[in-house]
Amino acid sequence: MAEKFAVVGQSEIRVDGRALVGGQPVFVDDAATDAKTLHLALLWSPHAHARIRSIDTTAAADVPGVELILDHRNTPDKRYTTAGQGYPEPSPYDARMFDTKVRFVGDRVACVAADTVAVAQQAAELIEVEYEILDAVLTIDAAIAEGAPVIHDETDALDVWNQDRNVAAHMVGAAGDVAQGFAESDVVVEVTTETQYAQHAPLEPHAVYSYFDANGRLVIVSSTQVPFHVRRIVGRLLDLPVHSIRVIKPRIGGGFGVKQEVLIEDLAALVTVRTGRPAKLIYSREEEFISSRTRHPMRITTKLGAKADGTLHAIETTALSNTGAYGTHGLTVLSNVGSKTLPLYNKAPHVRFFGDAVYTNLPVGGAYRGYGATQSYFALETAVDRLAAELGIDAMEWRLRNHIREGETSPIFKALGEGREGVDQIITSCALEECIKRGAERIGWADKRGKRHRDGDWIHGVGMSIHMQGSGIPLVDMAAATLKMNDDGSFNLLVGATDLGTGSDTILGQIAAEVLGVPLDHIVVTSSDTDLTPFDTGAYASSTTYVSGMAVQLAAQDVMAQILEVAGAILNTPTDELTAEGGLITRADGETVTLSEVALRSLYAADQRQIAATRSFVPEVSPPPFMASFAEIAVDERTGQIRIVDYVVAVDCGTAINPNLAEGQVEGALVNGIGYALYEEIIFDDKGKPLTDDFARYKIPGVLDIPPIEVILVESYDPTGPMGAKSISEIGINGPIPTIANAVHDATGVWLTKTPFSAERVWRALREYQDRQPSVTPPVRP
Amino acid sequence: MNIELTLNRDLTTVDVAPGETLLEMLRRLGFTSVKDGCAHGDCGTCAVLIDGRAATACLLFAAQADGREITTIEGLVDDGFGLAEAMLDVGAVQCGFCIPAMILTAADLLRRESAPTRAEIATYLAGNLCRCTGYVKQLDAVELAIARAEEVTSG
Amino acid sequence: MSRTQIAEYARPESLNEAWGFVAAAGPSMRLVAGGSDLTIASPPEVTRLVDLSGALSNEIRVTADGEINIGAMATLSAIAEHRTIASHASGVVAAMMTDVGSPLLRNTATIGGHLARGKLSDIIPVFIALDAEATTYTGELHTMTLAEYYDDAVNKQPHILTNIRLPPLPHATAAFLRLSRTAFDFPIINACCRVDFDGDLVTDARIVLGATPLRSQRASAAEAVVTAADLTPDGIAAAAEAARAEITTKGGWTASAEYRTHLVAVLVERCLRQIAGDGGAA
Repeated sequence: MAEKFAVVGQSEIRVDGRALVGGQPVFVDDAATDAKTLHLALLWSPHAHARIRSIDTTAAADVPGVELILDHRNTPDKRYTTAGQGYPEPSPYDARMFDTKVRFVGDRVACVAADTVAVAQQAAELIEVEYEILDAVLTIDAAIAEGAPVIHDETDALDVWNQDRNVAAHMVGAAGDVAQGFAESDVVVEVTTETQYAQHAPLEPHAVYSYFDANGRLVIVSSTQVPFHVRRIVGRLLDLPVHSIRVIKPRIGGGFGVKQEVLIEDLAALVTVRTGRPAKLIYSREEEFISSRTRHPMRITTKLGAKADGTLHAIETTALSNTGAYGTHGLTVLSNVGSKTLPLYNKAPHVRFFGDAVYTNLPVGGAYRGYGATQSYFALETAVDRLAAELGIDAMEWRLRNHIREGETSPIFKALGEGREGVDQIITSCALEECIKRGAERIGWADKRGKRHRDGDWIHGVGMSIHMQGSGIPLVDMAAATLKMNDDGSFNLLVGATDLGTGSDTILGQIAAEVLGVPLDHIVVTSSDTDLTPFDTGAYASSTTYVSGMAVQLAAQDVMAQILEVAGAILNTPTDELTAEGGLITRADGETVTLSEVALRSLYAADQRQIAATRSFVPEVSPPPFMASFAEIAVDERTGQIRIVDYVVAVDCGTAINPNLAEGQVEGALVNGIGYALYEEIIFDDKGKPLTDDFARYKIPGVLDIPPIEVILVESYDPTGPMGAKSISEIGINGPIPTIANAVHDATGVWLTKTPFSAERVWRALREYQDRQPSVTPPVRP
Repeated sequence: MNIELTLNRDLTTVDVAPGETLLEMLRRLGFTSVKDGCAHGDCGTCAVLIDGRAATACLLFAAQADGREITTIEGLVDDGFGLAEAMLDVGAVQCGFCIPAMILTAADLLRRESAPTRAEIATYLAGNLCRCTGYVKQLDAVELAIARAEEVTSG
Repeated sequence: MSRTQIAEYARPESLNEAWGFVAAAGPSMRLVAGGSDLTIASPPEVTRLVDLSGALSNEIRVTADGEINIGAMATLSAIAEHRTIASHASGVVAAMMTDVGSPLLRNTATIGGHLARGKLSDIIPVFIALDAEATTYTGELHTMTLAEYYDDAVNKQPHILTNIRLPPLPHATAAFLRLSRTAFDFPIINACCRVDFDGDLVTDARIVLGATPLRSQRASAAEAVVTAADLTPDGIAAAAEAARAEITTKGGWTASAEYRTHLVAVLVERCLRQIAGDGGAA
């Protein structure tokens, strides 16, 4: 099926790789700042819920070197959302730059701009704030309880679902009649799962630097996934015309969704506007933990009904999402709980999703790799294992019988989009069956499943789960690419797309090189500068390879047509009799012309023009990548510790434009997911203050924590994507929780329903299980 | 106060504040390869070689470098064991924020052990966090660098 | 957060000179011995740092009879990589040391700095189990057991920790185990057991629990259970039960007291089983 490619499909070295390994000054904080630069420090709320009665900045302002102090009294009072989404944003406008009320420990109170970081921090500590402390809402249940304190009692918020009941967003999507579906089912299972607060923890924290250029335009250099949204949102917030702002994204040290947020750009920009001086703000790791964004914790119930022969007949997923103090991404993450999971089992005619995202006085949820699907697959894929067990069907066999396939559709695609109605789509590529079979073969499913064995105190089991995600947001995302030809037959590729370490500059260059028949080093990639590059909605929702990639492919095809036209003129031949390969345009008789000759003629000689094209792409569908995830785990029955013995995922990403980078996306997502499954957790004290505010307390996986991992790329070819490609950056993170939970059940008989699967939690679950079944000793093979 | 140290092979005198960390000093001097990822000794992105051994620069006062030899990736020219190339070749570089420190730490190991096992490599990289890659390709890269060095020696 | 108030950094060249700083100092002075938490947060009253690297030894010396004397400025890596220490007490120190922090920390952290800090340590229970002695300087040298060193009357008074001595233990087999969330993490709890054998007969034993999260505790009743007998599965089980009963634990956000108490028995039993296997007894 796959075409034969020259540059695509090769593990080309990243175009920015040498600068990165050499430690060149390519990150925001590396920019040489001039002596006039102001450094920003923030004063954070120490209370989870309080009204600011007064702020006294006199002492702080008196510290030598302090230039400006911002708080709610001297900053715009507009409501907005920090969510870096397309316009109009589907997140409620419930935030202010600085509000008269603080809604979580870590909410902004004031910002000091001073000559040095130390002075700014010292001055921030001298700001005196009088708070009226309000009752705090610290759990989902407390948020929805009758008479709960109202977190957003302001009168000027927009698009909040129900302010009085602390409901930020609400979503329903359905097909058929689930009540009837369950009534008609022979077997019904229901699972409720709970997932925890977690942080993205990119190694580079949020960072921004702003200044006026020589012409008085405001330049914002930001570690962001969404430069064009930064420009638009900061412009609206500060009443600056878009044409007066330039946003540059340099290299950035990871994002994973947390930088799909206009979190600190407004502060630096306003300081520069007010003072005329450059301004810089680099979050500390502690600030990254207490005051950036998190994964929405959720309680999800998934109910499955099947006929006696195993056919799935009804699915219902109900979600309660904790969006924290503000509703950023609250609605869209909630939507994806249903929309990125339910179509996977499209055989059920009766499907329903119902969910609420509720406010609490805890850190703010945001976009996080997986975006609701990660939380939802815990419930869905453990429910599938329980259903298969009830039916007496092997869990892999049941999945093979019920998963969606190429040429099929699901009513959910239309019923549930991102915060609104979705888009009908037929699956145009799906190698999930092969993914399942190859993964099962490699993990040894047939030999190991249902045959737990003991090694000392460790009991081994195997588990699996299957997944889909998407490739961009259909009819919402838009990407554009500009290609122009240079004298020597090389090209500048200008893309708004945002490489956050994923390698998108490289793979977009590969797509252009493929179409143009040149090696990758003939494509000079410039990305993410709102002055220089065309628009792109940004790096989120697994959009870049698919959406931006298509824009690049279209632009390259357009440029190729122009090249052939010029070559035809040189060779005196109609363009349809020419072929292009290896940097040469060739006539049927073997006569050739080089790309450089084409460029020189068009730039200098005859019929002069810049060979160039700008093309846009708006996806009409969002072809899902698919994944089968398998693990062998061992549980220490005396301590509850889980050890992953072996982890295999097989992923269908269509054509892998750059196999090394594609594998890297899956490996990274998988390890992030393992951390989330086993130990990553923001823990709060009883006043809502996070206790885990550094990497000593909030543990992310290190190299010694990773199991043997094998990623199998199962290529398919999606006819709607660039060179057959689909996106792959998120899906890997969805596997570990359900795969490990199902493996733990295989090993011990215990169903885990709450993450993270800490040793103590598993130990308690094992003890409860044994207490419930005192007479049953699990059969264990020695 | 002035300290005298060997910085990337050059004997250098630096005026430092008594409370300044080695990380702050190096970044102030323009060594952008030394990253500030947590400033608590937990993430490893600020690792430099101190008398040949990799250590987090954030947990040391600059004054502690007095009389010692400090090497950053900028100074790791002939003794990088081909680690940078190997990292690029296998696709071990994603955002690249952790990579200079990861290379320095691996170089420290390879200077002392010519053929460590994969487990020994992992043990030595335990303090170098990476959030992008999942570490698989970084271990592959160190192994590739070792294999290439062996080829050169045996060839 | 800020370290700008630190106005003075001294590196005395002798122990006496260093003691001069310590004896004269009030709360404005802090000692620096290797990588330091003071870089993360120096309390506002701290204005002077005294670097001990010029005043103290980093040498590891082994006497003819097998005693190991470690200078306070020896790095944890130097200890982990030391040839004699690698086999001392069946290699328990070297094995434990790879669990402490990360190489990037062990390469500059010193044993003196670590022990003086005295918190959530993997090293302390092992060293107590190995009958380590600490030498301090307070104008004159004092030598005491490491357990005695953690008496507030010593540890919380101005002093300089100069040396650690590990006595020869030719008949000892030891094991160390810990539980933590990830490999590079503070322990949720840890245990070190050391058993001295005469043939199959246990002549002496140390059972020490750390990170409970209180100060390291010896399980004396458990030690008594296994001493003067062969190390049998029943004896091991009884010792684990005794340790569970006598060790005090506390709950926190990483683990409850109940879980830690449960783990006391599990880790003690596993350490002793490992010793029984390794030591050829039972």
